[in-house]
Amino acid sequence: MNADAFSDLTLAIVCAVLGWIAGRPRAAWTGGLMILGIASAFGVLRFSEVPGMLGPHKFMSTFSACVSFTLFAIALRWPMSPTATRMTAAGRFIVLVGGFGVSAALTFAPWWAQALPGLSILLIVATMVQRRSLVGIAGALTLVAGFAVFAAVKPDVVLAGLFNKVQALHYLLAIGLILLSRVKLDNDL
Amino acid sequence: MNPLVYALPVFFGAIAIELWLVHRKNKMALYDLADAITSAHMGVFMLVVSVFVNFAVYNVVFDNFRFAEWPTDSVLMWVLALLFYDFCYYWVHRLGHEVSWVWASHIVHHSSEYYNLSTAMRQTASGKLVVWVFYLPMALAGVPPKMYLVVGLIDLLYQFWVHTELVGRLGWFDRIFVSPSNHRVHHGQNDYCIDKNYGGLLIIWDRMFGTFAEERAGEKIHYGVRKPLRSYNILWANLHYYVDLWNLSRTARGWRAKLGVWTAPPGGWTDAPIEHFDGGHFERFAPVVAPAMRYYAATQSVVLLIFAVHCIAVAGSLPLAQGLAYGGLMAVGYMSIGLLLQGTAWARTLELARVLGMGVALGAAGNWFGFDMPMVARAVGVLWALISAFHLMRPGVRASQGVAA
Repeated sequence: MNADAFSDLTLAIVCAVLGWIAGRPRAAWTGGLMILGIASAFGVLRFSEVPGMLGPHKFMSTFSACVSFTLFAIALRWPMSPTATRMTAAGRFIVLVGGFGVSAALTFAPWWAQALPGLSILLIVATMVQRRSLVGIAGALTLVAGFAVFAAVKPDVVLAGLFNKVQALHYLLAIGLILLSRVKLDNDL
Repeated sequence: MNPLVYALPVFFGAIAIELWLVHRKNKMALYDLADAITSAHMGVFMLVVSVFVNFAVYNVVFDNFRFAEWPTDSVLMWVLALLFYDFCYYWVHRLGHEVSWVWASHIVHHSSEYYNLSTAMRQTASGKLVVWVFYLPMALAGVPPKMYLVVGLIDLLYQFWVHTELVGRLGWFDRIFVSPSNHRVHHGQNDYCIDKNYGGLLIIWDRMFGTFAEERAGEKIHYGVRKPLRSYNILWANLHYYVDLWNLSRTARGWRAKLGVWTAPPGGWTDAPIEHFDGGHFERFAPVVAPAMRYYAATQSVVLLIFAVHCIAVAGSLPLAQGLAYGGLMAVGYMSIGLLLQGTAWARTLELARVLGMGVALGAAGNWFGFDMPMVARAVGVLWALISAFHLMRPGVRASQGVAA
């Protein structure tokens, strides 16, 4: 297992554990983690050079980008809404928003897979500021940092002598999600 | 051309056989001419619309993101692909009932208050906009597009024969496959029938996911939807629930509530039991229209079918504006016949304008949407228009207009 696969494995494990702890009552949060976790699991296989995994990993990553972060935003901003609390509603959201999103991203609107998670993360930042949650703000900014590094850094650059940009994205996402999972949510904004 | 077009003779043949059996068994109440004609119109109109709606996303995902390509020379892989398709279909169909904006499309299929083979043809024109998303996992898994199309066709064609009241319970078959008995429950509006039996080919998906209900021997099933369509106008049938949702969302307060109208289940997010349905007070939609008008409508349907098949065959290769114009002509034709069947006051005027307009166009045009018309065809077209117009002007036919809303 190389370093890329290990970083994806770390993210997959974090998603699985956080999803397990949150469970069905936090449907949107768990659903988002599940999709991101599956994408990461495909990444583990891809970077471990299992044949035929490049396409599925790219697809699931795009799918995850089109749905997971929006679900996180819903879970954190409107934790009492049907999508946040009902597994059936979250499931439908995943199928419909994810399905149409990934289709748009793969055909006529490739920007969709960047714009939607970007806007979702900005919404998460705003939500955490409104909730005055320090741990939440830290988590949201960690997600922002993850995407900023992924967008800005060239593939061959080694950050802090340790990580390439893919690994940095995975680790920062994992840390951000752990921090956001600690936020207390008892009302919709 | 959509391969379903080739199945049309089989569909109409099967409907004719069912009608004959129904007549022999003295069960004519199972059929209504206007309802059956409307169902056939919807099926053909769906094929016309599908010419203009074509998504290539399946191919994009298959070409760029698949795991591994499934071999097409293995019978086992074909069987697996059929099961995979049927599994996806179960979820397409389930969400078709449980998400309002998807139900707005699928409600068309449930709008008939009769249950016979013609009901199977009552298909939504907007379905193709939605359903393809659910089959992307097949592309990702590596099911080749051709295999996907063929198993999809098998799954769809299988579902035709289950729309009948002539076949009773089938024992072990009912427990594994979607059967007439299982599917009758699906089309019912009795309390126990709501949101049950979504399977296409196999009923085991319903048993697995808790949506199975067995047909009850002592309880007559009333078909249709709780808020009846009460119209034979195929355009309204395809749009009425979208209009309802639009109106609801306009009155909802706040953008989340407005959006929620479209994304929630048709009854909203509630754990309360569904409102009780009283079958004793149920009355089918049955406008009184003179037999001469009904036979006129049936005859015009046959004529329009010929044009529709031509439209389906050529519209895709015509310039878009011409193709849309041809499709629009079909839509107006089907709407006009539907309005005649329901006795709408101004329907005869519309129909007169339609047949005379088509007669003039057929007579004057040397080329009918890509078809070079020989003189005899043009003459037949004009003759048909004149005979139709004279028939519409007959006193017996004129008297039938406006007798029912």
